[in-house]
Amino acid sequence: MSVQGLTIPRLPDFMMPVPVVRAGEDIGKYVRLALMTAMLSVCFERIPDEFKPENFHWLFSTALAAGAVVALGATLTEKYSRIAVAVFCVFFLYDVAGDWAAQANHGWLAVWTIPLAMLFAKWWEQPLYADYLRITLGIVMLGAAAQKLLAGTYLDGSYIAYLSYFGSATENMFFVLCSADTLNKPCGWHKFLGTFIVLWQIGVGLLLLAGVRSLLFLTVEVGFLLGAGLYADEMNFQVLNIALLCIAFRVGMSYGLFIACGALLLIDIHSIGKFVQYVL
Amino acid sequence: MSYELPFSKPGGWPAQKVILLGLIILHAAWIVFHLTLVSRELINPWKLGGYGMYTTVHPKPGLIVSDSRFGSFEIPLTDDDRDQIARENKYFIFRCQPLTVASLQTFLKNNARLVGVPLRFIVTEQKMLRDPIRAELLPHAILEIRWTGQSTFDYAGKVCGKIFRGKSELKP
Repeated sequence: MSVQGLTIPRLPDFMMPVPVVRAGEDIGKYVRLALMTAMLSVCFERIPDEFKPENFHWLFSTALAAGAVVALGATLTEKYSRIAVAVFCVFFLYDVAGDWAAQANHGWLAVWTIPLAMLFAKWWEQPLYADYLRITLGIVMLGAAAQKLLAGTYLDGSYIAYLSYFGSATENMFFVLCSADTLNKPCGWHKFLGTFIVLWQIGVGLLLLAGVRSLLFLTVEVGFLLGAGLYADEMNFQVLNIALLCIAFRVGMSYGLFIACGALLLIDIHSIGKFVQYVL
Repeated sequence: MSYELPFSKPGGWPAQKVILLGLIILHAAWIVFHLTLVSRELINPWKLGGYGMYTTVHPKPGLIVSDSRFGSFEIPLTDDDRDQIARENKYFIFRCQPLTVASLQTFLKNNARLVGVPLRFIVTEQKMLRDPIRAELLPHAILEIRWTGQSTFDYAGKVCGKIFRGKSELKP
């Protein structure tokens, strides 16, 4: 498959990270699927709070879930996509405003990105919206790297060393690389991993700002985000990032990637660590 | 590969472009401001949309309430008490913000048995320490209540090295 001068090995359609569009097929539906996935990640982030036994009121909770399903479904349609995003955002922004101090960072990224689709009648055809997402994600990557440099816990490997011995079931996966002495003096592997993560984020941020739209770049970044999500046992932010990247690259999301993201969001409700422990 | 400058196809400056560019500038400015606040240890880096999660251990702010007549005798709190106080103090994300008077009043209203009891509130935070690398729950802020009448009290405390004090009364 050749994309913008770059050739990557041809995989079965369902394994491709981006949709394989047939001649004459509208790519818009795949872009709308990507935004729907971003909205789905927002819904899943709120499930633990909204559907806690003490917060569960059957009529309200059922209506909320039904409304979300209808809004997400309508986002996929060409005719009602914009209004569906608008309706979704009214409830989402109301919810954020009601408890803004409790919002996690993925909630804020969704605030900066999803509602802006409303500015355009056919947002999925708008290079301007895609450019906006690309630059926003680039800034977020650089901001995240700057936070890590400021904390001073990545280049010296101390945070990776900490997670390796005190992290959750998935966060401690790198403990095998070093002995317990890494807690006194972070070992070379943990320093390498910390440094690699920071450099990776800076590289991705710069490439996004520069407007590099290589399919290989997108594939590697999606893989990295999925890996980071599994490592940190936190998929909402990663799925949101992946979905927004699919729009920013103007390729949309393949059905295979959507199924993978949906499955990870489902597992994430109870945490990936617990799932791994259950399976093992 | 294609290289494009941001907003590469000029085509004039419609309202949408102005709005999006404005938001990009605002977002970038907020991240820089957030970094400044984090560097001064004024906020929880995991919150407020600065993308500082996973840079250090989650502070997991907690609260210990004790009867100051009996040293460290801890008064058991319900989950509702903890949620209420956390919510009324913005989940302690503003690290140098003293406990709000409103949260004290709500707490005392919900725990009438503690009216008249000299109370000590200690806000704790989990911090990453070194040599060896570990996380520990450390006291971060303190506030004490001294009763001056049946429904009036003085409070004083310390947070981020600053002392604060004031007077209040129970709300009916």
